[in-house]
Amino acid sequence: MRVKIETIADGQPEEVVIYCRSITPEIETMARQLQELGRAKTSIAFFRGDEQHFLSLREVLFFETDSERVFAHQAEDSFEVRLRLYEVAEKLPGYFVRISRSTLVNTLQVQSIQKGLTGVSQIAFRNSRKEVYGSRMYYPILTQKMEERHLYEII
Amino acid sequence: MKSFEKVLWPTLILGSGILLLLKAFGIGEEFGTFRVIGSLVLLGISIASLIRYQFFTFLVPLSLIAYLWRFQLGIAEMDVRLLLLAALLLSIGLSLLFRKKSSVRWHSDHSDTWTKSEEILNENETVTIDASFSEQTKYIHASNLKKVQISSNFASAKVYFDQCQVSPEGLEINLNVHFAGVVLMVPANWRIQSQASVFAAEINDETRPGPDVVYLVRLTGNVNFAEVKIRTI
Repeated sequence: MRVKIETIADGQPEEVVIYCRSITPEIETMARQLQELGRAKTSIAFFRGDEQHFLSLREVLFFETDSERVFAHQAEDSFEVRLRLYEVAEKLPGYFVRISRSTLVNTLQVQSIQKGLTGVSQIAFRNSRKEVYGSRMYYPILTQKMEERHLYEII
Repeated sequence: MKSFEKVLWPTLILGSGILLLLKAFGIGEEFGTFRVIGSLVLLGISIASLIRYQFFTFLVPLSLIAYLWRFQLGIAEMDVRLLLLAALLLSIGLSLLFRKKSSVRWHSDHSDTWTKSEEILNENETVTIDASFSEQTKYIHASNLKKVQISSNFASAKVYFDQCQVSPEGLEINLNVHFAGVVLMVPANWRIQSQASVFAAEINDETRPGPDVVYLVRLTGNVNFAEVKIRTI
């Protein structure tokens, strides 16, 4: 695929145009990612007590809530996020996906998914002993996001 | 309750000894001494289980006693499989209706459903995890943890303790696990001391505490027809 960048005059709106023979799922994902990149995002603040920590979202394995508070988990640590889970979800890039009412996972960090007899999926992460369970209801969107994962790895 | 249990078992053992003595003297052989002793042991298990609100181990021994005495009861055609199935279903129903009242001071305003589980924090001291008919992971976040109550019935639960601070007074993990699998992921500086009552179940401590053990954690409660694994995270 050829990539062409043109500069424009001040005052003109910046835009990305994709010229393609047909609209494939890959093209749709690429368009979605470009839209996400263009959207002004507010960052997420991570806390441990009164200390604020600055983490890369790519290093976060998952966000989970115990119905009172929301926590972001890294391979070894976890940090409190002073937002509701749905507010976190709104701020996250497309490689995060909801897998249950209480958990959002980073598909870039998923090592394996083991689907149980009841349809509940057990999700393990890279370089970590942490695991989470995903609901049967969210399994299709999880597998779809896992298939799209390679598109996010290049950004 | 503990004092009652202390009396119950010695009484039953004494009763069994007396029965064996009677057999030695050739008295009361028509009832079958070993059947009587077996029934006494089963009755003991049943009474002890009822005290602890463990309905499965309360009803199954009673069913077996009824089966052992079916001829005397006049119901020779008793189907033991149906009897055990009935005991299982009755115990599930009773367990859901009559939940054991907690004696510690956390509040319990959550509703128990067949698939729902909730974690309740109270002043960072006690955590309650209730898992029934589900598979789940729980990450405990607390800054002064004193007690964790884990109830798991027909469920698979994995509980992570690496993000919590244990109270200087120590930590007790109270297990109430029936027909379930529970994995406790604990820090390397914990040493687990199991004081839990185990019946047809197993508690596997797979941890290898190093020389710098800081916290001694007590496991208490009841584990029946279940497996509890303790691993280092």
